[in-house]
Amino acid sequence: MNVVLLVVVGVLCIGGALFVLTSALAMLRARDGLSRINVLSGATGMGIPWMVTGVYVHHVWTHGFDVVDLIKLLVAIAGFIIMSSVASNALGRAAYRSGAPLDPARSTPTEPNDLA
Amino acid sequence: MSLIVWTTVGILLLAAVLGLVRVMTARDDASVAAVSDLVYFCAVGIFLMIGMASGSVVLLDVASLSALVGILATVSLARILTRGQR
Repeated sequence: MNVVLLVVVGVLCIGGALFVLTSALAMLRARDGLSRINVLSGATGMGIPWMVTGVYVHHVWTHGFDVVDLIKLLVAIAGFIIMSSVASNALGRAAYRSGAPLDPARSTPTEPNDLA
Repeated sequence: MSLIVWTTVGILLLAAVLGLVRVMTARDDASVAAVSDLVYFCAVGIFLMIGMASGSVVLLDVASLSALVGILATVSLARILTRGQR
């Protein structure tokens, strides 16, 4: 049982960190600001929620189950997903309106957006 | 357990350093804002791992609060990008 829990915690924590690393590598390869804001969602939508879930599993393993802790976990995961979506939307809109240069090598250039 | 913690911290530090390299070579402000978000999440992850290793009991509180408050930094960066306009 301990080995199973250890493997679960390890997969969740190291896998979440690998999602963040993938997002950083994609930021190196993306060529304009809007693409970099776009690839950030891999870290915020998958990476950090996995790590928080790993921490929760370890917390239950050592301290026992508690409903309040489960609510804190759900608030954290929902907050990360909703917060990253809303914040990325606001940041992308601001970047577009501030006249950030777009990647000239795109095959289909970004059209002007009515919502921005 | 310490192997898991230090492997995770190492990967997150590598991601933060890659982001900072991107900041040094980027030319537009939007990239800097995106990388600063990435470094924020790396810092949250490193805090979670160090706290798990040291047996802290406020970890889930910190995680939920950082999830709820982290939007303020990004929105203020968005306001800075547009020079205060909406």
